[in-house]
Amino acid sequence: MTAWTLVRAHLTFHWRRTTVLIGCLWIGCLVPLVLSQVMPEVQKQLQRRANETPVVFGSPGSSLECVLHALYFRPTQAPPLLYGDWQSLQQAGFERCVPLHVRFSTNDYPIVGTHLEYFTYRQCQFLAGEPFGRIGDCVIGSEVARQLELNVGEFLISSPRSFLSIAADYPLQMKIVGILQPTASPDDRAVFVDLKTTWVIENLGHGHQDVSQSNDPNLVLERNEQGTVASAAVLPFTVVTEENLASFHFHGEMADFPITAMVLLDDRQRAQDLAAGVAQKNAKVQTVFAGDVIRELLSLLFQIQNVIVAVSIFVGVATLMLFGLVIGLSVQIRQQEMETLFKLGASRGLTWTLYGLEVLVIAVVALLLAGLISRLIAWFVREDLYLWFV
Amino acid sequence: MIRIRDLQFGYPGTPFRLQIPTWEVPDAARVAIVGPSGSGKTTLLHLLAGILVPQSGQIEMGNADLTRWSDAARRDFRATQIGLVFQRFELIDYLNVAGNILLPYAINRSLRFGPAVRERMEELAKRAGIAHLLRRPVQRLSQGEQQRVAICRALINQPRWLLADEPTGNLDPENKRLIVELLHQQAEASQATLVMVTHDVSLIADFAMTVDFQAWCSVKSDASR
Repeated sequence: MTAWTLVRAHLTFHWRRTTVLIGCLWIGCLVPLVLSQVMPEVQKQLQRRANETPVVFGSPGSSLECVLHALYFRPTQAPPLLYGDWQSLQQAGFERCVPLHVRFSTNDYPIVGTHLEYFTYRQCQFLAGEPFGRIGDCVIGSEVARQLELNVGEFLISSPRSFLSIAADYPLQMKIVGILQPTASPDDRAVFVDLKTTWVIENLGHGHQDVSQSNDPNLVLERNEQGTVASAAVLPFTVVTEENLASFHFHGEMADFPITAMVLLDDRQRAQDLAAGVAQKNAKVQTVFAGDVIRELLSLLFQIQNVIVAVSIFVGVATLMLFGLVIGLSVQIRQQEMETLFKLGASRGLTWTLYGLEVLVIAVVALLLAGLISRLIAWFVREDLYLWFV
Repeated sequence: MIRIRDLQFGYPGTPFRLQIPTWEVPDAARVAIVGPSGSGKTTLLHLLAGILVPQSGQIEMGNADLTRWSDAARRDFRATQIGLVFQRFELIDYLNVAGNILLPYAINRSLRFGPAVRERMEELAKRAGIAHLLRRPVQRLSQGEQQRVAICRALINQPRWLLADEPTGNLDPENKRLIVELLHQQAEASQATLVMVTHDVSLIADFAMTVDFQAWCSVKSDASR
């Protein structure tokens, strides 16, 4: 039997009051603690992606939107670039520049049209399967595979961008040929296809049955010197197979086909030196240094963090005042009890020791809980933190 | 032996004055102090327990003059030598019966808790007829049971003096008789001096000494205490 016995008995007997007090302090501490653990990790993740992708090319417009689109595959409203722009950069010596076409999605995951070099330059490893080799193949990120429970050999269907215009994007069944290893980056949540596959989805190319030899008037509208004009009754293939692969073709010049961004996956300094020249020469292409944009974004995030911390301090002070009020009222209510303890041989100091121990226990439990929960939160979201901020 | 000489006590700012020229109580005596409410009976018990200190005079408990001791020494004396029983029981609501009986061991370091104390607690509870209630919260006890717990708490430190302040004030006649019997038995078993304050003259028959408080000491009071 010690004073501690009394403190423990009082706290457990009045467990509702104890729980509310712990809860108040816990909530007051949680937000600043979570922020202090999460923000450095957010900073690290955003900067890592920016360092891996030092330069981004996109249409003139918001540089932030351009970076978020190229690095995190966020949708963009900016007009597209042309594949010819990428070809020009290649000719200018930008060997490690990769085009991206990110307009479509499947099951809410972005479909990223690109070249095979994307995997090489990003140093992507394959968990299963291999890179895409032809139109209609796709490689999925680890999170896509996990969430949708997909394996190599299964299929994904592209989602039309608008249900009101289903003719605009023809849903294409894409065969999964590879699954990427987790990288704690947006690549985990993307479906990668060859650029031509995205152009097929965009109806710039297609495959269909051979109508050149057909005499069916429902399929053939007209034959002339340029070729055969097929009717709308000729349906394009919605899946690419060995048998129909050869029938896929594109209408128009490839250089005029759209891409939505280009990323320069080169050494940071070299990429910036190279890109500085492009920025001056080509007004149609916006050159963005991702690191600068991410730094601006981070500085904005830190300003928001400071505001949240300031608000938390105010809330914390209010909580402490209420906490003090509850303890003060408790002191009044327990006056008779403390008088009894004094009559039985306790010192006046013991009563303050009891109150002090109670406050200490409540504060320590609240802090431990807040620390534990904030650690758990930080641990659970550690790989996907960037998703909350981009 | 309790020995009081030329005691004078008053609460500051009130007309209440307690004056006892001389009073002696031999060891192991049974003393009933009777008198109307507000006449100063409780004040006398608090003086004997060292809770209050007189403005002048001497209070000797055994061979020690309480009036010469420091607060800490009187506190330790109270914890180790005195057993107090209150009219309103004054049990701690968040402790169970066992916790309440052992309470003095939680609040004063002069008392050392150990297996012997636990055995004594069980023995006291058995004698008081509450051995089966040791784990029960005190709010779930009847008033008679609560007062038995309070008596066990007063005796757990094996006091030389058992001071009971109207311990039957809130009880029905049957429980009054039982509690007074219990106090006598426990005091007898512990060889303690029992000083009981009461305004119920029907209870004083079993006491060897009876003090008519109002007649015996001088109280200049408006009966506010």
